[in-house]
Amino acid sequence: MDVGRWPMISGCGRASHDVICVATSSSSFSSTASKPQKRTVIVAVSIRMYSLARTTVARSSITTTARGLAAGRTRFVAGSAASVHTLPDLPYAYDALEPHISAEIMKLHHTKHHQTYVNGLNAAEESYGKATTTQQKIALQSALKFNGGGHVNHSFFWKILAPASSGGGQLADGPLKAAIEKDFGSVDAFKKQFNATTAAIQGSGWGWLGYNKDRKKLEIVTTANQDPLLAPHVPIIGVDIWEHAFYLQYKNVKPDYLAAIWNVVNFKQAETHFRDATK
Amino acid sequence: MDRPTQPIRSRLFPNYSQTILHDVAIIFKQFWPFLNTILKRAVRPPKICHRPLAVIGSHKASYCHINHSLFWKNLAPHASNAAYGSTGGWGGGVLKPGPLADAINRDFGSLEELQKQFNAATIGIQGSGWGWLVLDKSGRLVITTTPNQDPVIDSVPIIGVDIWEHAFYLQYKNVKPDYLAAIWHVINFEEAEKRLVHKSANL
Repeated sequence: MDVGRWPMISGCGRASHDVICVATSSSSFSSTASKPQKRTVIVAVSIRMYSLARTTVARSSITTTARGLAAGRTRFVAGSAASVHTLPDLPYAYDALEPHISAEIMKLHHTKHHQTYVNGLNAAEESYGKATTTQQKIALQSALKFNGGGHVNHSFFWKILAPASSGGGQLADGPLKAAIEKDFGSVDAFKKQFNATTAAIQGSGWGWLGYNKDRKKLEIVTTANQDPLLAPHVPIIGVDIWEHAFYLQYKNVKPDYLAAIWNVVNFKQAETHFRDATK
Repeated sequence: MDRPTQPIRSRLFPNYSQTILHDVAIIFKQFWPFLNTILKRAVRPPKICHRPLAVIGSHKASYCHINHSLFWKNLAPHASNAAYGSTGGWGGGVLKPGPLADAINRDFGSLEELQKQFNAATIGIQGSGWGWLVLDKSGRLVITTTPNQDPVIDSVPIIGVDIWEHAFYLQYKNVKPDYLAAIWHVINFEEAEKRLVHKSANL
């Protein structure tokens, strides 16, 4: 095109997953021309409305709310104007937990596995928001539970880990330590029992130290797959025992992974959970 | 040796004559195959897959063994793998015309369609588990999945694929679709056809 002004975006519209913009360009600097020649250039600008690693734009909420308005209804259904889930940042660098958990594992675990649960949860909630029959809603339950649990569990997990430089692995005297010693005899006995119970999970799952609000004591509990820890337990510490959490580094030797992870458990965060649970 | 005609005392069993012992030996020899079968059946553990579910539930860890034993046999080096050659004209990933190909075309339309549906179902497992192509009671090929190490019950496993993360993670990381696309190159269709024809995976 002739030298002229940069194309101006004259309008953008949404189409499915992408944004299409129309740009116009005019060449107005040619001295020989009697009047500017206006050229309309349609520039299809594909802007993915969600990125793979960062903040998710509320695409689904716009669509659903717009449809609701168009239909003359302004009701809020699950997911339509609810917050869209995003991948939380790690509180530390990917290599911060080495040598106990490798950077390779942390990166894959965070950017691939956890991100997939976030995406799956958003998709499931969007579908749930559009579901009109009970059967449709029931059909979505397993996707909500699996992806929702995955998102909840992993969000909890990143915070329950910390590099040694930030206190990872160090359980200071305090209410949590006292409760562990009361309910398990000693911290070492607790770790031993936790590891044995978690290693024994048949399949994928999570090992938890949970505070049982009914019985007012700490208990070691496991959940299958991505099931979160629910009432009456409040999660204090959680350890992912899905193979993706350790296989690249520890292969099949789960006990080595479980022995190592205690070096990076964020006991300060665990104690916060305990204080909140016992308030 | 011939039946002794004279009543000679046996040296090994001094209370009996050689004639008597000779007769006992003949009878024993005739009945040994029958006896052997009886003893083998008495001692061999029953096929765990046929136990009622309530009993199976308490022995889940041991099914690791069944599933993996089936798995190794339904894999084979790819036909192009010079180091291994091919097994009797078949190689991993090769589906020859025959009963299995016919059944696949009948029930899925094509091998590609089977692979597509199989992979989608297997990827959809929430957690650890296995994807299976089974022969159901009505004689149709059906895709199914089992969680964790649960074996196939009430149908005949034709092809099984392990989708526990340990089966692929070191090579394919989180990208399950790549693993599932690749594994079809080493599926032992010859073994699968045998299971179909014999209506049994215990070959």
